Parts: sequence; structure tokens; C-alpha cells
Amino acid sequence: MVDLMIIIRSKPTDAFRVVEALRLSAAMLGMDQPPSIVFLDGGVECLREGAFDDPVIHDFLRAAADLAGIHVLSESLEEHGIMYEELDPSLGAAPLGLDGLAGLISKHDSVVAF
Amino acid sequence: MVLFVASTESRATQETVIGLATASLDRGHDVSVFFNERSVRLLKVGTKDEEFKGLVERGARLLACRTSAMGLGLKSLEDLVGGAEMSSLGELVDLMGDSDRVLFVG
Repeated sequence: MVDLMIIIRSKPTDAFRVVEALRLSAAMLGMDQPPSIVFLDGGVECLREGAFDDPVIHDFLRAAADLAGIHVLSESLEEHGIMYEELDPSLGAAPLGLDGLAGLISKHDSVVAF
Repeated sequence: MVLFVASTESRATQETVIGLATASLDRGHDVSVFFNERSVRLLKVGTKDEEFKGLVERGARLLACRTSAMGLGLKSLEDLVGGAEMSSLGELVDLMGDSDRVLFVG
């Protein structure tokens, strides 16, 4: 059993890293081992509407959001000047503070950042 | 068992993977290296064939994500260095569960 938290900190301009994270998430979901997924730093920009031109990437995001649930670090939103309301509502990203992030990390055996 | 996961095709990733895998084998660990996304190109025949073959001869597994390989035009094992295996993200998840330590090299 894999107890993994995936952190996505890459911007949409580094789509290959975001796709890698989401593909791993999809594989884990397919094997009924859902990861926790948190977007922080530049990764918060991935949650904006229209962040990716490629619809496949958006589909990966929606699948992760629907099946695993995704979190977004509030401090990163603030640092990047993004209001929560600017995020794609269909993704339903749950805001999380640094304290909450620390708590979430402590619940997992491993954390990997993309 | 130690599992290394590579993602990029940079020379740094290549050297780090080979170096860490070698050092881990020297310490008596079972080693698997999963090449994901663009890093599959590192396994292409004609790159570091002898060094990768050396790892295989010492018992390391070199696994290429089949989906990534196909996307990069590496369609069969003949396109990869000898001893490399075609694999999947599903197997990666299994390996992650079975490994004592996992390192995403990048």
C-alpha cells in the first residue's frame, strides 16, 4: 500500500511536470490507492480557469479533483496575487493553510514534489 | 529494496541515477530504476549502454514506462539498452509499495 502525498509546485509553463504528477495520481487512483494532492507555489496557477490549452491536462486535473480531491495552499495564492474565486470552480480545490499542510504531511509516509 | 524514479532526460539525471544505483548495489541493496516521461530516452540504445548493462548484470532492474516510450517513438525493447524492461505506472505504484525507500530523482 502506498501512502503518498503529491505536491504540485510547477507552473503551467512546466506542464510536463504537472502531467507527470497527475499521471502518477491517476495510476494510484486506478489501483485504489488515492494520494493526497496539494498545489502550492507556482502550482496554484494550474488551478486557474484556462490554465492549460491542452484539454487532456484539464481532464487529468478534473479526474484528480473528482476522485481524490485537491488542496490549494492559501499562502501561495496570496503570494501569487490570486483570489480563491479566480480558481476553476469545477475543480473544487479545498484551501489549506501552512498549519493544515503540515498536518496533512504528517499523515503520509511519503511526500513527492513535482 | 531501493527504487529510483527518473523523469527528465538531462545528463545530470543520467549521472545521478547511474551513480546512486551503483552505490546502492555496492551496499548490497536490491535496486530498481523506473524511467518515466522523457527520461525513457536515457535508455535508448547508444546512450550509456555499457553503464546501464553493468547495472543489469549486477541485478538492478531498469524499467521504462511503456506509455512514455511509445510517445517518444521507442516502440520495442530493441530500442532500449539490453536488459531494460517495458513497464507501466501501475507497476511503479506496486514497486513504490514494495520498496523500503523511494527517491524521485527528477
